[in-house]
Amino acid sequence: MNGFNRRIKIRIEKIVLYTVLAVFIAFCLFPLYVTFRMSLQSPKDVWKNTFFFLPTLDNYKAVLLGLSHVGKASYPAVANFPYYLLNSIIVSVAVASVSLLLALPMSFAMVRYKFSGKNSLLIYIFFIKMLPPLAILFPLYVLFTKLNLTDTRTSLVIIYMTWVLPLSIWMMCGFIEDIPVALEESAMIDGCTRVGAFFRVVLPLAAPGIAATLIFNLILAWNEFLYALVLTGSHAKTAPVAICSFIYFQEIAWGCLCSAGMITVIPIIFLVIPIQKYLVRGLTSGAVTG
Amino acid sequence: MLHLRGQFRKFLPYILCSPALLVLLAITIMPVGYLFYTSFCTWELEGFRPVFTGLANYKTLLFRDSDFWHSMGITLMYLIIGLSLQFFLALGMALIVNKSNLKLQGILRTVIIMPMIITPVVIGLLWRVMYNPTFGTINYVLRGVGLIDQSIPWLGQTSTALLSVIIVDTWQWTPFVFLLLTAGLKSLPVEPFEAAQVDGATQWQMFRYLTLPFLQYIILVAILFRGSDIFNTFDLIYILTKGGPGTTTQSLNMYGFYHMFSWLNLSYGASIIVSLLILVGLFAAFFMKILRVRVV
Amino acid sequence: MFTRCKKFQKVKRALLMQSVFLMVIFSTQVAMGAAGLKLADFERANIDWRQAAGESIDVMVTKYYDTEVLESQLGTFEALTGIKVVYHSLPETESRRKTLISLSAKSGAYDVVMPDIMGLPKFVKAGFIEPLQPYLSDPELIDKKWYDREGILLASREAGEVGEAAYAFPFTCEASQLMYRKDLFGNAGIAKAPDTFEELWDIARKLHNPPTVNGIALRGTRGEGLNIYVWSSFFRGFGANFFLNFPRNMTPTVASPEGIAATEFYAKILQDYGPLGAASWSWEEIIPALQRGNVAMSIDAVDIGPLLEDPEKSQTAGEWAFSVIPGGKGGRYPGIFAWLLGIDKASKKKTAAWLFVQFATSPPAVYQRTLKTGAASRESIRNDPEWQGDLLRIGKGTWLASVTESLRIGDANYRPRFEYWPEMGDTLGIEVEAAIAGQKDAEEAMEKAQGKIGTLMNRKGLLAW
Repeated sequence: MNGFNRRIKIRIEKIVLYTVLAVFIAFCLFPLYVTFRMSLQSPKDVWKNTFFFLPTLDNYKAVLLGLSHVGKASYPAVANFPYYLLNSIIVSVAVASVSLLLALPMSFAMVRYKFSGKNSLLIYIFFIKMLPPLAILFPLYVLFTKLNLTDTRTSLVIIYMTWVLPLSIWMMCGFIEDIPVALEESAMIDGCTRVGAFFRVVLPLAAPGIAATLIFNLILAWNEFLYALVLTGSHAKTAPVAICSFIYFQEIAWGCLCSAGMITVIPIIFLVIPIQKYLVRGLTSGAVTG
Repeated sequence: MLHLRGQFRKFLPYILCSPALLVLLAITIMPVGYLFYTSFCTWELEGFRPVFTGLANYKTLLFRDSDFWHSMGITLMYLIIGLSLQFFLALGMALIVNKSNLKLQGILRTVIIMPMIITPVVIGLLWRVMYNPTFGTINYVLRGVGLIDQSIPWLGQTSTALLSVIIVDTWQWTPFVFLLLTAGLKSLPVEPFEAAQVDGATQWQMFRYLTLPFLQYIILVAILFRGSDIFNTFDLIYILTKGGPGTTTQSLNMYGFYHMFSWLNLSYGASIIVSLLILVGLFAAFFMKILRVRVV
Repeated sequence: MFTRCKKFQKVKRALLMQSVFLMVIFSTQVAMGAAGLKLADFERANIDWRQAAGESIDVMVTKYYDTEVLESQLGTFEALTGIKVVYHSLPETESRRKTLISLSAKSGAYDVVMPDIMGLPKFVKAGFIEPLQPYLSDPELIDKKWYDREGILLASREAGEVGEAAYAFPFTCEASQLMYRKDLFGNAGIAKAPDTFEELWDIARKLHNPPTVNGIALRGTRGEGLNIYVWSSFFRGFGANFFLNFPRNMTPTVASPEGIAATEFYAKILQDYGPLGAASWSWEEIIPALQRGNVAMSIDAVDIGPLLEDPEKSQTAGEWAFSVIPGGKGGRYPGIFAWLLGIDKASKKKTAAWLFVQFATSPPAVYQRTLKTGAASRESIRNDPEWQGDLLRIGKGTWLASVTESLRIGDANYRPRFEYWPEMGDTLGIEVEAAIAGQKDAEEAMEKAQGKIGTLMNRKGLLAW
């Protein structure tokens, strides 16, 4: 009897949990559905509130090929969208990996060593993260012009460090700290140096953390708009700035805007899918049993 | 030799830290110094050059500018509502997903990051259209379901404008907190939980005395980084409401923007941004204190 | 760092080649436009177009149809002058932001910039923009007869002047006009477009039938170029003035009884007969609402007209008529707006920049560019039946007629053009929006705005107390 009640209780619990989850996912996905829907609509259908419409791939065609019209309606859209998308990919992958490389040794030192000024270092790093981009935009622009770095991908990679690197450091600190010191110590007893222990023990164990950090870095760099707008021109322009060109003074090319929006999601998803598996694996549990 | 080695030991952490620190320092020292300097200047159009005038800007700001205080209030409201909404929603979802042992977790995670990676320009405009009372999808759906009789002008009335902006922010960034917390939950050690289960601890006790303390650091990261983002939110508000109706959604960052980039009051804008920085600093110090970070 | 990577260079080149190829194939519409531009028309000018040959200039513009067509004219310019043009085109908010930053950094990143009528005085005061007087009086640099500066409509010519000195040339000029649905007017037995604000009110009331059709839609979103652009027509039409005596006495008078009445009218007509949440409506909402048929009337920029009558984009194409906006005891004040082309003072290639500005605003370029948009700022072109051709279809001719008339009677100074207008206009915008949202009544809003503008004028030393 008791067991039966418990089973029902568990089942109800499960139903409630799944319902809540479903609502949350619906909340996340609904605007995406609207975007997707709009991306399939011809300019005239966009503003009809009917559920059914004749889907068209014209928008995708226009965006990917840089056409100046969708169906018969004229929208002189940007020509080089695929190239700008490639810019975005290069910049965000570079930012993600460079900042990870810089963050790893620092986080390791922060967690494993005792030294004075540690506390203020961490706060300083956070301080850099919270600088409003608007505030430092103007002097940065002057600086980059002087250095002849405007309109290069390099300039974006450098500037994106200001908030991607702090996050990487903070996150990696957390993940490295979760690795028991005992494992490192036993490796060192077995004859490893501290550095050797870092590479043989800490790095593999921190893999899920590294993966997570990489994902976040990618995402944070992917959508940056303000710096990319001000610091780039026709050469190093990234996808978000290029998408902006679908907005005209007085009119918005909705179909193109939404299809470009959908297209920007795809490369990141492909980059994220192989990495995100590492998130699933437990961290220390695996180490202890294995 | 041994002595040298000891010296090296002592400096090793600094050496390890230096690449990252140097990069950050090199990028930010000049702009930040410039920002602080200009906030103590007046910068008129005539001649267009900052002239040092001490605390004049701050005096005006603190004692004679009611818009500044109003915007500060808006920013704090945005922060408190937005952050707690995102945090608790994400925590709840992370716990549910972690517990339910869902088969589709991989897909779920991939799907859930999508709001974060769509271009912000598209997001802002899209939500603006969705909120529209005449042809927006939200009102259409709510009317269809029967929740409301008449369309609600979400962005066009004082009572709902800020909340509507916060909802978009929540939609976009809850997944970020969710992913952070999931990563944290995944790396929880198993033994303490097994031990607790043997000792007959309740779910709540396990959550309160094991999960939360273990997640402490990740929670801090989530709160600090989301918090500072919220302080700096600009494009979203600009596209959705431009700070309106009236000044209902005009955050401090927004107010600073108008001074700096619309009206060319560069120095006065700088003093607003410096005040914002001080505010964020206080916010960070507060959370670092109550969560007692273990690393530092 | 990455540019040196060979592999990437290859990919980039391939992509560029591909897009160039596709451009050639598909962008026939734009290409056909460019074909209409004849070198001979420019070579007639008695100046040496090739005096800066070999240079390369950067041009920053706001993206809209006219600048899109200008892009297609660049080939002609390059062939004519031997100057290479790097063309940067961004939406309004972004181009403004970028222009402002590069100008104030004095970087000279863009040789030619595109300020608007209300922003120019601010740039001029700060010394960002090159004065054009020396260029205008140098026969080496301009053929006065060919360029015919006097032929530019007064309102647009004034738009490029600050204190009677020229700083920029009008790229396009536009006015605001009344657009209304003929069919709905007919059904309600209304014979003609409203002439006065009272008539406007009556018609809005008669046609208001929510949720299908709203009587009227006007810009509500705050901003000197958003709600204030339209609201100012009402404000001046009601007989109110921004200052006691602009520009000699800068005591603000926005809270005069007329000013309050105008604001009350603007807020009330939107609250009673406008769309729900009108306070947050701007052109982004108004255009689709008009195209869908949700709104019977609107007062907005003239370049919306072609969008409403385009059957590919609009469900209400063919139903629209246009007229000059209604007026009141202060007169009629169609909103005047202009994009201008000016030269960055920090530019190192001013001659080349000048040639570009002259080229882009010259009669043949304007003629050809505005064939589809109708935004020509020269009377001689506007009266040319050949040019009118296609445009006469929009609103059965009412569109073109009312645009020309609005430009003719329009006053570039219907909003005070001076360096602190952006801040003043935004301040007004906030209060007007608050009044529309019902946050405060018109009197309270205007009093607040007046106080703030007074403080601003005082701080900037424009008020002699």
